[in-house]
Amino acid sequence: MNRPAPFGFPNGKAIRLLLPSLVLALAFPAWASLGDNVTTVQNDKARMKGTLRSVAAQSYVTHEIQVPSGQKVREFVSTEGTVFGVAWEGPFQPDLQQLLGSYFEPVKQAVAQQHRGHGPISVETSGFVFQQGGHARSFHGRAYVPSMVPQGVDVTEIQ
Amino acid sequence: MAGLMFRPWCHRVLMSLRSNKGAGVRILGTLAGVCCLALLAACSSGSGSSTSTITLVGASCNPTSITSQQTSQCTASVSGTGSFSSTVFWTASGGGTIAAATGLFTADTVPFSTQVTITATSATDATKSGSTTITVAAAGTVTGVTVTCSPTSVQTGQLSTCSAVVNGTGAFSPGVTWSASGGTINPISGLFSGSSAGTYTITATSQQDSTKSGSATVTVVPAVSNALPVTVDGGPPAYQALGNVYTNGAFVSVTVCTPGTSTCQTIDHVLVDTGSVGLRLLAKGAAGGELDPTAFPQQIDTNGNAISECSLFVDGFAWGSVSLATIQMAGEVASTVPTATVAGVPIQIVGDPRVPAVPASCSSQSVVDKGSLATLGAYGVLGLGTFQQDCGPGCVSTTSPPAEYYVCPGGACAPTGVGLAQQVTHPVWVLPQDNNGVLLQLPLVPSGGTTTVNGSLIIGIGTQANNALGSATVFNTDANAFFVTNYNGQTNSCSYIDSGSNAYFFPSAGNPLLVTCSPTGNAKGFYCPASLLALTATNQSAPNTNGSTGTVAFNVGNASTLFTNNNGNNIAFSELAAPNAPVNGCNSFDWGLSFFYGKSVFTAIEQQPVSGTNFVGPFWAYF
Repeated sequence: MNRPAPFGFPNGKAIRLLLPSLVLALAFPAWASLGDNVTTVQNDKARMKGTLRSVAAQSYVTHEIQVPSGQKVREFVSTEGTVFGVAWEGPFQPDLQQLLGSYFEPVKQAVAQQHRGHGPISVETSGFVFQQGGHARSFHGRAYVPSMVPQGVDVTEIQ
Repeated sequence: MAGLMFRPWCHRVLMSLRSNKGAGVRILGTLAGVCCLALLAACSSGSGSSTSTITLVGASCNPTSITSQQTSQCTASVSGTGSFSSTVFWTASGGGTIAAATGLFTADTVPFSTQVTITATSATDATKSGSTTITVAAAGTVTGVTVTCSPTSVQTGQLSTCSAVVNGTGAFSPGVTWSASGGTINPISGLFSGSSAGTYTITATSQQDSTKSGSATVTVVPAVSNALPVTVDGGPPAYQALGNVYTNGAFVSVTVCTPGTSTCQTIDHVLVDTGSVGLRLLAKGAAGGELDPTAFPQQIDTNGNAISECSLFVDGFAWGSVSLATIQMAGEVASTVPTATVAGVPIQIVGDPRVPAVPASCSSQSVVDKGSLATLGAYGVLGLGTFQQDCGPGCVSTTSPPAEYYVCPGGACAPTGVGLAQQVTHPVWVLPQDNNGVLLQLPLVPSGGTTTVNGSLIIGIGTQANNALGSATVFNTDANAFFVTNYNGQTNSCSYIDSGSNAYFFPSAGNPLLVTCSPTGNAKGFYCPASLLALTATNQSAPNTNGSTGTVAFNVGNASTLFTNNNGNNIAFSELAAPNAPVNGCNSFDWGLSFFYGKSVFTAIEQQPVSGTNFVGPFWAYF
């Protein structure tokens, strides 16, 4: 009898099936980054199973999360604890829904409206900047909220 | 007056020349010539040698037959009248060296029996000389010759390089002479080509011992039709009917067949994309494509689960099945992947209704879903980049997001690792011939743009008469398929050439004239300079590769104006450009389709050599 195992049967396949949905469910309430509070950095690190490195500049801190696949994500946090920018690079795209948080849908809409080209994306609205470049196997990009960027910080540092 | 000052010195030289019997004669003779130039008439009338004449010079050597490295002593007999000099100079025609003054000949190690001419020339009258010969025999014995040719199968007109190994004992000659039962072979280099199909025997014969030879066979097959017509025409009519137009999109038709059958479908308006790898076709139905997916078996993993893919482009993702197809491009047929256990080449069928809905871990990787005609703007993408597979080693063991490959047992999709032979594969890399890359040729378009462009996609590089590298500059890329472009003082170390990008995408690098178009206008997202800009940039091979450099002159027009020229009917522009985000250490200059007009652009696949050159992919080349 080679039928599919019933629910809860303890073989590897069933466990693998269950785990991702479990992780998603737990992580979902914490999904948010750009524009949010610094506590989300720890959530992101946990969810991405990555290593965290933090570097302090004059008026902000950079948290860099690197995952084993080579993906790097950087979150730029002001002294008030606000994530004012995110940047990423690596062979895949990061979870942009998580990184962009409440900006994900507005970014999608802005790209749909403004990105007429076929190629790297560079979209600016009054609320945010979203840029995405590279090609298959090597992507890079960034997003930031100009109104949240600390005074005196050059936006070219968000990368 | 100057000539008179030389007279006493010159006289001494000439006197000395007459009395000399040794090795210094040649030098003094030269000095005497200088004197003659200085003194002219004095030389002929004042030398006092008019009474002596050389009548005959004879030469003989003993022994007349020697082997390599042995010596033979040569002597001269000089006849003449008056008080003539018996001094001669010795020369040899090759095969050894002879002492100019003493006549002692020493043989070289010669590859085969060689006859050497020895000449004695009078020191005082160079028109009088005498010659004899010495036979120099080769040392050692040739025992056999082995021949190999590579490749063993070539298309008509293409080169196979043959090489010979000569075996023997002692100081035998490695020299061979090449011959072939047909076709053309260079007798010295062993380069073979055939103009008609057949199997030819290539023979190398020992130069030292013509009874020893070796041979190999080369099969010449008819040249495969390797050129596909390319059109830049605004995209599929159904896409344009939605109110869209595909600006600077280069399209071909591709035929896909159920593996092992003659059941085929031809799909038009497949985008030629040198920035991605693998064939992706849009499914019929909700996705709006042309392909009926049911004719193509899905790629199955070792657990029996069908493999799905979340393919990633710079500006979007596409979700669908990984399925198996035989791919026909002109006369080229890609039917299998090396080391794969199933027939067919893995392709992606985007929007394939046989796979579950796109999982969140796929759709969250990008801000654009390219899984429909409205967003893809094409019925498929023919990825012809520098990689062999679309994802490569990075996807072999990935089992957590972010990922590209998925399995969906029970309808729940989760990332999975997929071996290289099962990944979506470069359709040219798996061809039996012409499998090292592609050449895209598009004609110039006039300033301001045009409505239609017709060009060619040619399979292979340096494999047929129509895809020679010619004068192209070759730029090797790095492992991420980047090279370097310097523009306006800024180094863009993550630059690339990509027919699937529809403009030049590059950072303005502080050029104040490169203003972006209005975000609410007809050309949002592009550059809108006040007037046409003539710019230059410099391309370089990736660091630590082949070190090429080349300057590119290019124009950037006002996109808003370009899009309204000719009542908005123009869709092909060489002057279309857009900004590109500067990213720390990885700035990109993306040479999109604007760059391709008026050029031949080659894209070579990693690890694939170009026959007859030292070039190996990955590289781009253009002229």
